[in-house]
Amino acid sequence: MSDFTMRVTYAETGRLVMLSHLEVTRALERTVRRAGLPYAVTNGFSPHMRLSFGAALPVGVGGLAEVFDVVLTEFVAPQQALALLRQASPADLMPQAVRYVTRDEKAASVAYPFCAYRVEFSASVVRDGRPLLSVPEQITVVRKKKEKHLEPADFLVGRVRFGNVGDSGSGIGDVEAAAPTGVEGSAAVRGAEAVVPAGVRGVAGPDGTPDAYTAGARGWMTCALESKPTGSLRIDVLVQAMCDAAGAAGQAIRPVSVMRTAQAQDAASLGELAALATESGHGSGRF
Amino acid sequence: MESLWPRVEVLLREAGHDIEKPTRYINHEWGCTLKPEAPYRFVMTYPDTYELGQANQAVRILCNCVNAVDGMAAERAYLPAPDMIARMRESGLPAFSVESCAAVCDFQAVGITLPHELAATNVLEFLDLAGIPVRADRRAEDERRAAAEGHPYRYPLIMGGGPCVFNAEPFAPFFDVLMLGEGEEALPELLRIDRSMREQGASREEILHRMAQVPGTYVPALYDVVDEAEAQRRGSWLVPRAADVPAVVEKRIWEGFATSDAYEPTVVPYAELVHDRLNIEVLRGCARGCRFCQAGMMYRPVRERSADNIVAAAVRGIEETGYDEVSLTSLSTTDHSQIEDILRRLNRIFEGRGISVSIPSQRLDAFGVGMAELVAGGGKKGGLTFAPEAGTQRLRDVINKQVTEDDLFNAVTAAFDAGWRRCKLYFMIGLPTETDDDVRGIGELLERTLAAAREAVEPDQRGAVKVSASIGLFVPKAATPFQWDGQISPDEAARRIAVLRQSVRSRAIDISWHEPDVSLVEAMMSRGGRRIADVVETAWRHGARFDAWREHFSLQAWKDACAECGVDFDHVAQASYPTDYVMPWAHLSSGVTTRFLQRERERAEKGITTPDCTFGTCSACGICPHYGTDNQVQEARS
Repeated sequence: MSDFTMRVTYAETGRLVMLSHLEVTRALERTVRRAGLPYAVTNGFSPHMRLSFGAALPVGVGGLAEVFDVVLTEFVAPQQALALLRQASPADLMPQAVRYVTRDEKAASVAYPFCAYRVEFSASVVRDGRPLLSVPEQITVVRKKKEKHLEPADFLVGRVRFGNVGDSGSGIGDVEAAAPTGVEGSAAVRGAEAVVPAGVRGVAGPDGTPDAYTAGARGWMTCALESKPTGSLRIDVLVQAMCDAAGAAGQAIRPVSVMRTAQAQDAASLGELAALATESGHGSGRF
Repeated sequence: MESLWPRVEVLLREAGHDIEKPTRYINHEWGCTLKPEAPYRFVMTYPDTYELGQANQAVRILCNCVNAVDGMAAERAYLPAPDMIARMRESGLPAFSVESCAAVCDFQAVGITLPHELAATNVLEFLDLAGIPVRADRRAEDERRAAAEGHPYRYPLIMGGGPCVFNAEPFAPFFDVLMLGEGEEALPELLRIDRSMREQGASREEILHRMAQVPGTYVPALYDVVDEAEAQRRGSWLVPRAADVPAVVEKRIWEGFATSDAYEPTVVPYAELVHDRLNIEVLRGCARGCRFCQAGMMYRPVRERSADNIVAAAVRGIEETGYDEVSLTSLSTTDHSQIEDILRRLNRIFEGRGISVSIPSQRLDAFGVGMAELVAGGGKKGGLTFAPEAGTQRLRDVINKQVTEDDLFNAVTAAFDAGWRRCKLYFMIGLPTETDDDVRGIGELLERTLAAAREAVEPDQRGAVKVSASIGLFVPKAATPFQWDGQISPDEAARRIAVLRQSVRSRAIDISWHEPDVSLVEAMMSRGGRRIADVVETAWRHGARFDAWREHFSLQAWKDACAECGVDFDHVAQASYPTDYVMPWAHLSSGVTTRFLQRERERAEKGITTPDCTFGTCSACGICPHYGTDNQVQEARS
């Protein structure tokens, strides 16, 4: 009996960015069931759906191009599967694209270690041509009751860009980490079915539809992080550290939206995909 | 109505990890009903946090009923958790509904279900957080003033219902209206009255007076409270102020239950709930007549829905919700005359789809080999729970829990044979006529049960067999034959638990007994009269809330509140009365006559059992002749 593993790209937006990863996985499982897709179940005592998920999003962080895999017992045409899933989904947890993955592809949780983010802030973050936020040299996190010191430079990929909402231009780059920078321009991404540029391995969210929620955001930042086998730096931890430092210097800046805009297999692909997340705003984590 | 969402969002973002489980406060769940244009708006509340309240069926059912009315909308509301409440109070953000995040005080009516006595302080906390004065008389005063200035109906109508209404007095002064019994018809009826009388510009008093005419409706403001001597003389502690206000309020029965669709629209939450599955109510009422059980007296007569109805509802429900578990709920699901057929059909339909069917608890005497296989057929086996309640046959006969040791061993053997490895048994101590022999009987019964369980499994599996017991302290409840019996003192309870522990030798048996502090307050609330309302308010003003949560409950706070109000805590909980004593709920009727309760108490004293009328002869509890109704079972019960 053959299995068909379907990879679904979905967006987590609006208020649902407040869901924990477990809550999202439960919601997705129910969506698959409501969609009436012929899902496979595990053998044994307590049969359950065969689902696997991409890298978790922290509570409060949304994503435009999240992934999960579901194993089906029969082939269902991607267009039809996508339509069924969309009908069964709440607006803020909406599938965008569907494709079958082959056995040689990596599992959803490890396939896309390079992630692009867009953060929006309550206040302007650029003044007189200089950014008010900076990436700290070191961030201390507590893992398993021990303090760990992470250096953001180890995880950042490409440039960190800042801008004020409403300014034209591509913003100001601050930190230069690894060499390749984002590719300017945009590739075509349509609403219901994401078409990823040939040769690019990754997933990206839908293109910019101006979002009512973005109103009220005054500054923005884009960056990319790589998660490594030894660990990762969470975007919300990085943003919090940056805002805390600004706060200590007398600048009250807090994030109003944190979104993962794209995920990719390697830095180059991410560069192309990240360019799809235009600076004029798109699906937001401002709920 | 204005959405408070932007302010909630700011709180959640600013607090970050300091506010736990923000999912409690967002909505947009799959399956929620939005009727933003409906002009008459009702909010239904469960007085605890989202994850405890969302599973509540009363909220689900009544919201559906009100949403079905043209021009009316029902939304849900829950109490935010303490961390969120603190922030809300700091920033002046009032209690809000789920669906549209509107301020609770802006609705026309607020319904609060009273699921158990310990919810009382949460009710007050909720009203206060909503900016609504907790006392009905204070609200009435404010409204009279406001009406004189041209702003009538300043506050929503505050309505209560649910199990605690059968001893309503500790709650009465906080509510405008209390509804006794089933609300499917009564609630829309009352809301229609409110709507049309508001349109006519009627005063709040006129509206409440009209509502008091609706069967099953108790309007506390229309009664005077009398003292004990007068109460005993009159036969009631509450006396109506007008001739057209009923001296006794009789519960409502929804006649249409059995033939109504078992499918109820369901909200599918994102948050992890205590129990999160599709609920199908398969029957209402239970006539077993266990003498300690309030639910058994409250929900008569017995009404079963048909197997076709239930199976169709389960299938449709799974399709529409995407849940992976269906729970067939009722007071005693295995008593349903068609339960085996229902389980067989559902198991077949859901085979291979990873969907399981569960039953909340099984009757020992209905659980045999057949049932064991059917319930296991769903593919999921946790622990099985049974409730023998008493350790000796003598005491089981006294409480009319008609299960024998053979029933227990047959059930356990069947279950462990079919693959279960754990079972949990519920018992109570402090039941009327209990002796130390009865208490030791619990331990001895557990030992024999463990032996039977081990017998039923392969030798190499015997180590995995676990029998556990959960012991509760008996709380006498209104509208039961034991309503005149007092609770035993905490010291006596501790002594009996020591006797019990000594009677258990095997280490494979786990006895779970928690400090009965919560049961003491429960008893005080479940037997007390109007003065207990003062105690509730005093306790709340001194900071008592979330009493059902172990980490927040303080027995001392309640004792202090009693002392401050001049109420003898121990006396209220522990005093026993002769059966001709008029109790503080004599004006509220479950349809079961006092004469029947007295007779049952006498039979209990003699250890004589009373049969279940759905299996055998009528026991003359009084409800059928009085309501002109009858039990409705699908097939003969055996």
